[in-house]
Amino acid sequence: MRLNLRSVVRAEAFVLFIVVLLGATALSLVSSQFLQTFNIYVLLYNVALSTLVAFGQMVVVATGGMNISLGAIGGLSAVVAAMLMEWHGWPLWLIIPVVLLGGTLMGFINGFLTVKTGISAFVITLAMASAYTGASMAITNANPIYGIYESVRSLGQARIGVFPWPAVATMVVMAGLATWFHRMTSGRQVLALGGNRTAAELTGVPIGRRVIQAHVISGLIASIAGFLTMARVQAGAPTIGNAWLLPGFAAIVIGGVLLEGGKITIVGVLLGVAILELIANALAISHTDPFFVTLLQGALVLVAVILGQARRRMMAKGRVRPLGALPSTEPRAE
Amino acid sequence: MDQERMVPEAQDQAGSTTTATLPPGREANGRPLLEMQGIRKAFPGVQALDGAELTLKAGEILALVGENGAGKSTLIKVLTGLYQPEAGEILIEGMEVRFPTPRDAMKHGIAHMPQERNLIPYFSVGENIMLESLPRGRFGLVDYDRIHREARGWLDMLEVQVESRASVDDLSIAQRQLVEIARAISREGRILVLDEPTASLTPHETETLFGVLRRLRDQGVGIIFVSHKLEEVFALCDNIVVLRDGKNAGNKTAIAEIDRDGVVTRMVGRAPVTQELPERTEGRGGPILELQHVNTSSGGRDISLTLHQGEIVGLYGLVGAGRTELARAIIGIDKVTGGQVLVKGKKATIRSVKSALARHRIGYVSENRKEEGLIQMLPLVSNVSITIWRKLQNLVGWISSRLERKTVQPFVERLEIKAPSLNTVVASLSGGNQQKVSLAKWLAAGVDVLIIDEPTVGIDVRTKANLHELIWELVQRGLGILLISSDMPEIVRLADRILVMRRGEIKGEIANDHDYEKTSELIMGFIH
Repeated sequence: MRLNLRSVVRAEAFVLFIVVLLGATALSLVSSQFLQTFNIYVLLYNVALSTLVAFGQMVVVATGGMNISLGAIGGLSAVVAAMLMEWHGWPLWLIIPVVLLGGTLMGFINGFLTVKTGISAFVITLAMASAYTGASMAITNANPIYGIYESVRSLGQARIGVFPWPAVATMVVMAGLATWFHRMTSGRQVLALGGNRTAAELTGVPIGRRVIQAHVISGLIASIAGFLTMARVQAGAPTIGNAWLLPGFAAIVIGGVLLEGGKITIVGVLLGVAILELIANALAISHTDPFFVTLLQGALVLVAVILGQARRRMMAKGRVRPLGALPSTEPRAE
Repeated sequence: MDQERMVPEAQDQAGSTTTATLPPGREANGRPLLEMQGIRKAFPGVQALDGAELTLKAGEILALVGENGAGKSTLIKVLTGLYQPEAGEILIEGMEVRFPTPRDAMKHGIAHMPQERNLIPYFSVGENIMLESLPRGRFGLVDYDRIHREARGWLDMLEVQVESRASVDDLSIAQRQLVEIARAISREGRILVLDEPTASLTPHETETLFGVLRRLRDQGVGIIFVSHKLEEVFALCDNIVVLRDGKNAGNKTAIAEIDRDGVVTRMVGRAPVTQELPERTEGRGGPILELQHVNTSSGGRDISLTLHQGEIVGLYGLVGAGRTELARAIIGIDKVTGGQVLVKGKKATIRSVKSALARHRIGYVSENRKEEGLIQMLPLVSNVSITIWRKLQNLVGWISSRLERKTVQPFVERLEIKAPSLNTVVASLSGGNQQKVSLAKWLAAGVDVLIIDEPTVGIDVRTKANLHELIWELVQRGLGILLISSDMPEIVRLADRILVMRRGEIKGEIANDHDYEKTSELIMGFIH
């Protein structure tokens, strides 16, 4: 019984791994450009940044919510960092904590409003996204700020061979999330409330606090991603984060995260991102219209969601039933 | 096997628990462990608790019983911090306490196994049991080895043969129930509340559970046992409290001093005094809906019933007995997987609500009018005409609002729906009037068979009587009505025949002579 489910879960990530492997092999056979050091470096860099974005989304999705303002937080973080450099000349050791604190605060506002008003995270973060983007636009007059420090510029390009240094941040976040979700009470409780809110509440999980915590972590990750993206594009552009929403969802859905909440997979998300970036890379190498990439991403999300639902239906028909859908044939009182 | 973790007393000796369990009969300060006094709680249209009381001593197993809607669950939810009472007080060892959230109740040593399924999906058995306070090891990280070791102890205590590391999604329903019981017991509360814990257990599992509960009692835990199974109440409990209509029916009584009939009498009481319904002049006609050995995808088994024209057939059962599911199968939402359905004597396969309505003229007034029955933000007129939009539209699909109003008006008048105008938004109507709108919708569609699910839940007494007359009149006009109700007086008052359902099967049929005392006891006989 148990082995069965385990092997299914394993197979899920395993299938993704095979897809990544086959995709990479195929690309290297088809195109001589693919395996060039610079291309692999760019690919890994994209994966590193997109993974951060996907994780930022996953943390809130785990509660059964979503964070539409993820990109807006990233954008505002980038803009504020650039502003502090060009206009105020703050030292970097001060800017980085301030920017991360800012992301945390924006996450807190999202979470606090969601919990206190009882309105869905979707609506709250949709509204807040507009507010944060508005702030970015107001600060920059909708123009990128270019006066960022040389140290930040070089960070944006630092690499050893194919490995981009900023990917270290992604690895740290990944380790942190794995520990939080699997080995810390608060992280377990976030998953518990995402899986069955009433049950979690009855078990004494402080629902409100945990939902806010998830939003805070999401905001923090968004600000990290925003700062690194700024370093990469070498400017504090208010457009940073504009296109984070769909790929973020695509990656987590492909990876096997349940949009209803309660189930996450860190390795799955990483592989989901890898698949998306391989496709984008293939299209770039073949000089395909970049707009086509967006179209394809949309189609991929749809396919992933449909496959995920089909899989759950199959589970429901067999022995393995989702807990919420128990047949109510036993007598219950009142 | 790790004996140390087998039973709470061993842990007490090790000094590892937070709650003090007292020897039987010894109270901290001479006051009972728990007192609930004059608890009142109202929901829109219904007084769920009307001064209910309960006293629990340490080392006592107290049965809490009552009919559907008597207020048991509400009382439990007040005790466990899910509901806030409007009046009354809760005392623990004589000290007044308040539970704004379930956490607060837990802090006072109240452990609760709720009646609804309450496991966390995708989590392991062990983690589900220990979730409230996950043991932590080095660096404050969750210690899974300890979780599973401790969970194993609780599982062994209940003789549950599942792996602590297994995912709860892989368990059978009975196993899940046992995991929930293990979770409640693992909290080592001094007050343990079990709401229908044996609903899906085998006799052997139940006996093991009872052994554990008796042991806990002897260690001084106060246990509240909510159950519909009276034989279990008599086998396990020391004392019994019966609730009826949100009040106590009689005082707390030692189980030895009361028998089954005595409990049932307290549970059903006397029928509320209502006006006699007039004699129906039209006799019943031929069969219009017949089910022959029907099985359904939602758990109905071998269901046979016949509904005649001009007849009310009542379908009684506990909540969850499968009545609503049967209705859903009849109108084509759930699947009929075996047997035959005959409409007016002809074999029928109903695959959708649309075909139930258009081809077979069967309508279903759902139990949940707020979420399923009505579109709250639309005006009255649209809510009634929704079933006949197709008939009202002209060639290009345009629906004339004048024609719509003209068609709807007679039904609004006939059912005496009280609304300022036809354009009033349904959400602003009273519960009774909303229920009438649900009925009007199907009458406008011209149904021959109407399945009405819990028509008067949350509706005040006068409107209820009014609705009863209305249903009576509809049958007089030749409809056949299948009435699903958990309200015993209602079903005895209205139905010509009563079918009792339990666990997806029809357990018995009673020809109703509207004698409340006799009929209600017959019904109880089929359920308990």
